Amino acid sequence: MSFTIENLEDITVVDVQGELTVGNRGELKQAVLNRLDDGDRKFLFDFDGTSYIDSSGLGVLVSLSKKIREKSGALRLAGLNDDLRTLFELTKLDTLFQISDSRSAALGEL
Amino acid sequence: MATDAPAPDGMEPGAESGAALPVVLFSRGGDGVREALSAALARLEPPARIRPPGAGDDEGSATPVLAFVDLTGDAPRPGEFRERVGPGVPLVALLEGDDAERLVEALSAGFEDYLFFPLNPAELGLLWKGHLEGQARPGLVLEEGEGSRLTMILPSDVRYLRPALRRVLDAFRLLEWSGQANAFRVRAAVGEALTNAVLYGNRQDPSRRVRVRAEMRPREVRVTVTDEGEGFDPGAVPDPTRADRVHESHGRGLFLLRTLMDEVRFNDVGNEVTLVLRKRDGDR
Repeated sequence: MSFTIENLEDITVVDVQGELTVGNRGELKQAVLNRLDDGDRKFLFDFDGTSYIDSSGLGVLVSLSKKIREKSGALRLAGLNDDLRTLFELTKLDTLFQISDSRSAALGEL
Repeated sequence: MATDAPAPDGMEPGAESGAALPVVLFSRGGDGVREALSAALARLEPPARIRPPGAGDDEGSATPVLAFVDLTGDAPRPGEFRERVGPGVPLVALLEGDDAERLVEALSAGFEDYLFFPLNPAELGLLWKGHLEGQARPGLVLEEGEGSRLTMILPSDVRYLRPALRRVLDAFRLLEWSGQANAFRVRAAVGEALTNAVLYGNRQDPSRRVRVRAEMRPREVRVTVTDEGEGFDPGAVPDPTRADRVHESHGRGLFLLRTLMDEVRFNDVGNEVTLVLRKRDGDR
């Protein structure tokens, strides 16, 4: 897994490439927390290049969404493939996260 | 591939000792691997020294105790070395610490053991002792038979999860019903079972191992994951989709197993889980 973080105006866009799993979740979590500490408040996680997220990766997303909410920030997810969407639906995390169909839609909604 | 030239006598501490046991090293000759290994070997009890590969008879003791193979960096495929050292000489891979893929490749190509580089002298000492006393060290061991059965033993380290999982998936993909939806089920469920075994069963204790047995049958996949932990009561794990649990950042692994597989069975202790996925009519 690799990820990039860029700022589009006031939105922090996190692009996740590959698999977000127990082996690498910590790195992503820390990078996003750093941005939150720096004052970033609107986050978009783009999973267009993400092939898989395991339960530990889901856990990190839940934990980050909580931290972002605590700072009155906003988080949207976009670019989930069919398998990942199934994963969010099975775990009912689709009720917890705001999920957009595409990155451009999410940017408009944040 | 270039092999190392013989070390001049007396260049290595302990090399002058007649008691030093011979080992061989295949390396590209760069990055100080030889120097580091040589220095660490001299401090072993009993000490060892590197002798040139293939020197054989004129070295007095014909058979090296171990053959070290430098697989760091842009090394050749591990597969060719079993033949080069001949039967009966254990192969030890020297690998970069984060190169679990290469480790799996080496172990499935007949390597008996491994060390990560930069070299940890204490690890080398344990390995040395283990080999002299005839004990195999825990490692990832693979047995594959006719593409339908796979056995692995993994160290309790998250770095091995991905290559181990990939092996299971590669075996599953030989079945005709291993299309995207089923491959996703196997990937997710086996991944969660392995993660649970390493993180919660064995608590990442390096002395504990995880065993994986996978059987690929024409209409059924059966994967058993066993850890060396104390087990747990799977019935006591709450449903993570409950309204009061959905905000929790953990506790979804077991739920995913049960949701994605046709059958999930734990042993009485709770340190072994068997996952079964069956082919449905029309599955691709």
